[in-house]
Amino acid sequence: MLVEPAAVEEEVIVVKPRVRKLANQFNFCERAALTYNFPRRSVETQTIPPPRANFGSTALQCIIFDFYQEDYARKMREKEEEKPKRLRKKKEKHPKSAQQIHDEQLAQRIREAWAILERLVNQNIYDDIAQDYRYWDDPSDEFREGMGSLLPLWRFQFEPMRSHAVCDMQWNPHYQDLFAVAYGSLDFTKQQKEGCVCLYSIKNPAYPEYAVVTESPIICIDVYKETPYLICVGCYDGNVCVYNAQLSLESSYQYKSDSVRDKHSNIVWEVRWGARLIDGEASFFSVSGDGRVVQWAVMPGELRATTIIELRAPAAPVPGPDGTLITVNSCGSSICFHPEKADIFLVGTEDGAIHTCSLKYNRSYVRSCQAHHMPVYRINYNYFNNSIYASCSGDWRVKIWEDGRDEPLFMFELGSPVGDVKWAPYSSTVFAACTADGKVYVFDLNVNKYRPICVQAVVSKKAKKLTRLDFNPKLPVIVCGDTKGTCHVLKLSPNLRVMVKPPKKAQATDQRTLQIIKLDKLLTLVRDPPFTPGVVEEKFEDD
Amino acid sequence: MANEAEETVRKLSMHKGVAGVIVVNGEGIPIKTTLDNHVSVQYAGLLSALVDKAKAVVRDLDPTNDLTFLRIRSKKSEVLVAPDKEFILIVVQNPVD
Repeated sequence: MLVEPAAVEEEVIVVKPRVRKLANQFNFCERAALTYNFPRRSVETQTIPPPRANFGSTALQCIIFDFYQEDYARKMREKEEEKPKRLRKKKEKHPKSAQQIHDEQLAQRIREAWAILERLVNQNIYDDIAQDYRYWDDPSDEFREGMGSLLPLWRFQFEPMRSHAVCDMQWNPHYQDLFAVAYGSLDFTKQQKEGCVCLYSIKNPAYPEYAVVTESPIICIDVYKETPYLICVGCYDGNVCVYNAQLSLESSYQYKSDSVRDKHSNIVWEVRWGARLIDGEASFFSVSGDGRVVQWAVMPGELRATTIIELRAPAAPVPGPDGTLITVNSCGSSICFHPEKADIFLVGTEDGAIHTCSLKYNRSYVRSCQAHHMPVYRINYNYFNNSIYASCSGDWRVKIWEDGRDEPLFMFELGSPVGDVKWAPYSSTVFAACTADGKVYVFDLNVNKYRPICVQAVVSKKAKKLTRLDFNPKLPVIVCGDTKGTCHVLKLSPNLRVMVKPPKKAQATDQRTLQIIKLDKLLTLVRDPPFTPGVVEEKFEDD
Repeated sequence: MANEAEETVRKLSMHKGVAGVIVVNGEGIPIKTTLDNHVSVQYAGLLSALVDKAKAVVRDLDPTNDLTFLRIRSKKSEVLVAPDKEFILIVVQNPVD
């Protein structure tokens, strides 16, 4: 069978019916292909490692707190920005850049830091004086009935003003450690070219807190009680100025009477702030050697002068060269306002008269009396009794007056021109005076009616004279100025500031009433027996 | 401002017993001094570290509080330091007899 395969095949073909081959309906064919394999490669690369640093910090509580504060501030700011525009706070017209604000704040902080440092350095230097001021009371006072002493504390000097005289000084009504000093000159043959206004604090005896040099010597000064940074001064050249101690030094004065029509033509001897005008402007009064009292209204940007009164001399009109009669003005030298009646004031003149004037009459005096024989340097009302005032003069005398009485209640002769007299703010019967021979006199009329209870030489009389003095309104110290530009602060010993003990029946009476009673009792003693000049005029011998 | 600072430094250094005044900026570098250079650098470096520490002490006790001033009293002298974020003012004062 195997031999004849063809025959077999033949046979099969024959036998089988012819089968039609099915056509590939879908034209389907299978085809396979093999793609090339991609050759494998491994490539490696290394980047530059990111910079690394070790950081360590302690998260202190305060740092966390700061961060929260900052975060809170930022959120608030964002919130503010989300608000619709009209609700936002209006921005300032010229907003300062953040840098400017920062710079200003920094400058302010530096200034404050310096001020504190200076205070501390001073505290170290003047520690012993500060201790004395606070705690040292003269122990010998206990054994000396009715006598006291003054303890010299700080001395204030401003180097450029060494040759100037302290022409006026005043404690600040608001800050009890601060006082204002006017530097000028009282030697009119050798007048200085310039003056100075200084504010000293007893916390810093080395330098003034504020100092501004002026073109003309300054003769008088007054600090405004309502706004204690406003200081009005009267100059040797007849100008009055208002200084604002809040402004920096470059802008010096705020107002000056330079271009005002009715300004003084002579030395301005005393300035005093007065009540506000009807329109609310501050005003002050000045008295000058040209014989006029002028009221100055401090308008925005300028001063306006109103002549209140012209002081006429008692002499008859003098015939001039061409026969016209010229009335002579007398020269005002001091002014003092009544503590309660705002329109009443006293004017002292260079010929020794004291005129009581009123703002309402510009022609005549309410009263007039020939109080002294030489210029009246100061008139000062008692703090407890409005009808009692003291005056001092170049005729060596201090006199105590009562309103409406032509003769003084008391008269004291101090043996040298008296530059200043002031009532004590704490006692109705205590006053102090300073004289040209360098002594300070303290009187307590309740203790001794004829003699001072303290006489103390503060400066040597050869080189210096005392010019002015002032009681501190609260602290037991006085300040007095001399002709070499030094201010001496002195502490009053306990005997100089005795208070009235309330009577046993009325323990609750306050000190002020007691003081008023004390003075009234004293006055009745002086008034009741008819006035005897012999007693009052008793002169004490120089110590 | 510069004038003012100059003036204040001069004023302070003229006080009795003041041995030196140093102004240090925020980075701890003395920018103004009346002492020798190396002494000021030493003061500045040591004190800025001390100020930081002192500030941390004060503020950690009460975060709303802040250090305002530092006085270091020693046998020979006293160092007064006014610290701030951006500057430190140092005054060295010898005791006055």
